[in-house]
Amino acid sequence: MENTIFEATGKTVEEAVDLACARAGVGIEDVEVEVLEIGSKGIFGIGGKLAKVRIISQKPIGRQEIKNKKQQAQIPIVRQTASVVATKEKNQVVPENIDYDEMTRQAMAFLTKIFQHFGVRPTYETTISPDGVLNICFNGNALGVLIGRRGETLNALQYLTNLVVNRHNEDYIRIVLDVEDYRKAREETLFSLAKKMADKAIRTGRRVSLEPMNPHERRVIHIALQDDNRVETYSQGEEPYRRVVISKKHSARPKE
Amino acid sequence: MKELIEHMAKSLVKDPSAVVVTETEANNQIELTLKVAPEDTGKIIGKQGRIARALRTVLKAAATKEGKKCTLEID
Repeated sequence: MENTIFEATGKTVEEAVDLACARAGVGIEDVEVEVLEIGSKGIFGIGGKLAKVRIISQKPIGRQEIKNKKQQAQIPIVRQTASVVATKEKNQVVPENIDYDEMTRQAMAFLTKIFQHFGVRPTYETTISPDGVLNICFNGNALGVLIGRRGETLNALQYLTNLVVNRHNEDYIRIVLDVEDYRKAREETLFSLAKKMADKAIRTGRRVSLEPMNPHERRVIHIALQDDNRVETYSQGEEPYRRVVISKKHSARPKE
Repeated sequence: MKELIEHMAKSLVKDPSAVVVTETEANNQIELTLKVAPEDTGKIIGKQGRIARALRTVLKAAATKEGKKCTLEID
């Protein structure tokens, strides 16, 4: 049997290992860990390097398989920002009787042909979020072309895939595409950006207007600051140039 | 490029047989013209051109990989 190798990055080595194990669906006791990069904190969240590890598992992982979807869906989300977003999710219920295998098949039929034109052949794994979102994550070499500037290409592909797959189906299912850990990394960046800009709004007493973002990214900013009693956030402008504004709260209300 | 836009357009419309793409290329500049059945126009343009924008973004990425530029006209 072949050993299965899996890589992941995280803020610390421990976090990266946890993430890699969670993604591979194995326990830490079943793997051999190789630290590729130790990572560093940086100053004020700037210039920090992520830790990178490689795990080698003797156990079959079978991450291309879409069997045991329910189990995969319960893999704990390790990174802080991801779990924050997940717990703020409204009480959405996973729709019953949805054929995720068929949806995945349709999405991949559409995307595989596009990938040929990009000259990439990524592998993929799927997970179903607790709220019923189908996540398809790609891994492979030279996938930067799939991400584009600030995730522009990835978002376009995701939008088109949602249209193509849902066109054939009665129940609307949201599909999220990701390349390696791009979205998680981006969420973390946004999270620390939100904190930094909130501090700036308080320090200067001025409104801080962020650059235009898509709804998901704006949501990450709003969620990052919703428990911060000192500031309030709102969005202004029209899509696709809608942006988040952070402003200092004038009347300091008591915390609920 | 032509096959790429054909594939994406055919995946989006109701009547794939009506999808016609013409391609001209000069000086690394590719010009694509896409034609679909009249009732499918909305399916490739989208609200405020959102679908057309996504299609152009994907084309641009594929063209950049070949060191070319690409424009898409929708007829």
